[in-house]
Amino acid sequence: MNRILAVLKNKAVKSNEPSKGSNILSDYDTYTAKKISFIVLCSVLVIFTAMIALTQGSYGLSIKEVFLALIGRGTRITHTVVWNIRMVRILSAIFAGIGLAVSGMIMQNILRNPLASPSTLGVSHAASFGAAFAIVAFGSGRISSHGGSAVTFTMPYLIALSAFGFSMISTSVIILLTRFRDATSETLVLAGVAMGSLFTAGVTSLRYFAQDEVQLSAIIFWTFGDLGRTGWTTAMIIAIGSTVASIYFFLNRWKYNAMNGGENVARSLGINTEKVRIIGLIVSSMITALIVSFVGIIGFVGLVVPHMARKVIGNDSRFLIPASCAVGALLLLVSDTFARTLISPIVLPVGILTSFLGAPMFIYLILKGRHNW
Amino acid sequence: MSLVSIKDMSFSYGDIDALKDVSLSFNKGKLVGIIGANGSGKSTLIKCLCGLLEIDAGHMTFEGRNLSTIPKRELATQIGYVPQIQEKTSPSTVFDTVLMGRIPHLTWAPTEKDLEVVIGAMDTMEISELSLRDIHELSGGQRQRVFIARAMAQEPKVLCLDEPTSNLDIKHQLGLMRTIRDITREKRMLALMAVHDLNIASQYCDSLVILKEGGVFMEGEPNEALSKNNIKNAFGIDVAIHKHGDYMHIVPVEDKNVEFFEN
Repeated sequence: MNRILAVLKNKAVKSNEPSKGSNILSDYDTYTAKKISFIVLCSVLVIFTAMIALTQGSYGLSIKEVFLALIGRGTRITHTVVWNIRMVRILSAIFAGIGLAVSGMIMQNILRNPLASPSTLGVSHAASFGAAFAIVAFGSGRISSHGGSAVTFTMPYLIALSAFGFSMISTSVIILLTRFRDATSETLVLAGVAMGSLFTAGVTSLRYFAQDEVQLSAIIFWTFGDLGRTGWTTAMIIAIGSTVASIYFFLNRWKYNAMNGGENVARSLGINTEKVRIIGLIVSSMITALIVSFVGIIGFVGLVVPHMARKVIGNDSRFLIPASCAVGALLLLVSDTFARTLISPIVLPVGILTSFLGAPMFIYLILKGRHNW
Repeated sequence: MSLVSIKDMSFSYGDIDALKDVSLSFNKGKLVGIIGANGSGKSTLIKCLCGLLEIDAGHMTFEGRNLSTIPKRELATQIGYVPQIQEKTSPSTVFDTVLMGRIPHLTWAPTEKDLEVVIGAMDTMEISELSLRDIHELSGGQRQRVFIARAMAQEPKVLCLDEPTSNLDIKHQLGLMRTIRDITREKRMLALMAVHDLNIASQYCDSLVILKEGGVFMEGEPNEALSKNNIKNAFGIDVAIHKHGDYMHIVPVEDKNVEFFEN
C-alpha cells in the first residue's frame, strides 16, 4: 500500500519518468549526500582543531594573536611560535594522520582483512628498524640545540631510504603469504606481529651498538612516535607523500570497490587483483616508511581510523578513502594536541597516546571477529 | 557461428586434471545447465570461461575471437560471473553492489546510463525495494538475486552462474530459475549454469552438459541427456524417471549395492 502511494505521489510530480527508478535514485542521492556531509564535517573539524591547537602550548596565545600571526601582523615571538613551531607540528600531525589512515584503509581493503594496518603487519616496526639501522651504521644522528626536540638528523633521506628498504621486507612477507590460498586474516596478522617483534628486538639490539648517547637517544625516539622532531622540510615531504599516495588511491577507487566483492568477482569485473594488491601494498608501505622515518612509530592510527570511518559511511571506497584521510588527520591532530597539553609543560610523544587508544580497539576488533566485514 | 565455442580444452590444478579435452559450443538465447558429480569440473569449466583460470591446452572462442587474448576488462563487458554464495563479501548496500557491475564500463563516475542500467538490473531481478539495505541483512535467495543483478549490470552476452540455486528453498529455487530463463530469452543472452538438482535442471534448461571426471560425458536436450543409463554412468546411482506432463521427475532408487563412499 505504501509503495502504491509512493508511486502515485511520484507520478503526480513527474509523470513522464519511470517512477520507481527516480525514487531509487533520489534515495540513493540522499544516502551519498550523507556520506559527503560526513567528510566535509570532519574536514571542517580538522581546520577548527588546528586553530585551537595553534593557541595551545607552553607559550600561551589567544585566538586573536594567532590570527594576527597567521596573516603576518604578529610580533616576532608570536610569529615564530605560530609559524616555526606549532604550524609545522600541526601540519605534520594532519598529513601523517592522512598517510597512516589511508595506508591502513587500503591494506584492509586489498587484503580483505579488518586487522590489517601498517603497525599490525609489521611494516612500521620494520621501517623504524631501518631508520635506527641507518643512524648506527652511517651515524646520521646529531645533537641539535633548537626546537622542541633534542635530536635532529643530518641525513634524513638516507634514514628514509633505509626505513623504506626494511619496510619492504615485511611487505614482501605479507605478499608471499597472500599467495597461499588458505592464509587467513589471522595468519597474516600473526605473521605481522611476529615480524613486528623481530624488528623491535632488532632495534633493541642496535642500542648495544650505539656509539654514544646521541645515537642511543635517536634510536629510542623511534620507538615512540613524536611529531615534535619535524621541521618545515620534513613536514613538507610527509605532506607531499601522503597527498600523492591518497590521490593515487582515490584514482583507483573503483578497483578497490571491486576488491570488496571478493577475489573471483573482482577478477570477473576485469581487475588484475594480484597487481592491485602488490602495488597497493608497496605504495602504502612507502608512505608508512616515509612517515615512520621522520616521526617514528605512531601505532594504531592506520588500524582504528578506517574502522571509525567505515562505521559511519560504509565500505564504498569512493567515500571511504577521503573519509579515512579526514578522520585520520583529525584523530592524530587531536591526540597530539592532548599529548602537548595534558601534563604541560611535559610533552608526551603522541605515539604513546595513540597506542593507549588503539590497543583496546585492536582487542575489540579481534573479539568482534569478522561480523563487521 | 556459435557465441561461445570450446575446443579440446584442458585445465589442471597442479597435478590434478580438472578438465580434459572438453569440446562444446553454445548459442545465444539459451539456458544451458552443467551437471555432474562433485569434482566433475563444473565450477572449473565456468571459471575457465569467465577468464578466472588460464587454460592449459586447447582454445576457447567468444564471437569467433580467441577468448584468452581478449583484454580482461573488455571480457568483463561480455561475460558476467555469479559466484557461489559462500564467497565472503564485505558489507555493502544492494545498490552499491549492483553498481559494481558497471566497473568495467566506468571511467570517472557513474553516468546517467550506468545508473539506468543498475536500476534496470535491480528491476529485472525484483530487488528494487531492497536498494539501500545491506546485503548481509538479506536472505540467501535475495542475496543471490543481488549478485545476479550485479552480473546483469555488466550487460554481458554470456552469464555464467556457479550453482545459483544451492542453499535456496524450493520456492526460491523455482523463482530464480524462472527469472534466469526469462532473461536469457528476452535479452538473447547465453546463460551457463552449474546446477545440482536434476529435476530443476530438466525443467528449466534448454540443454544440458553432463560432465564426468573432467570430460564431457553427454550433451543434449534434458529429455535425452537425462536417461537412466546416463545418470547411472555419471553419478553412479540408480534412478526411476517418471513423466508428469511435459516434466520429467527423477527419483533416486535405493540400491543396497551402491557404494556411496567409493575411493
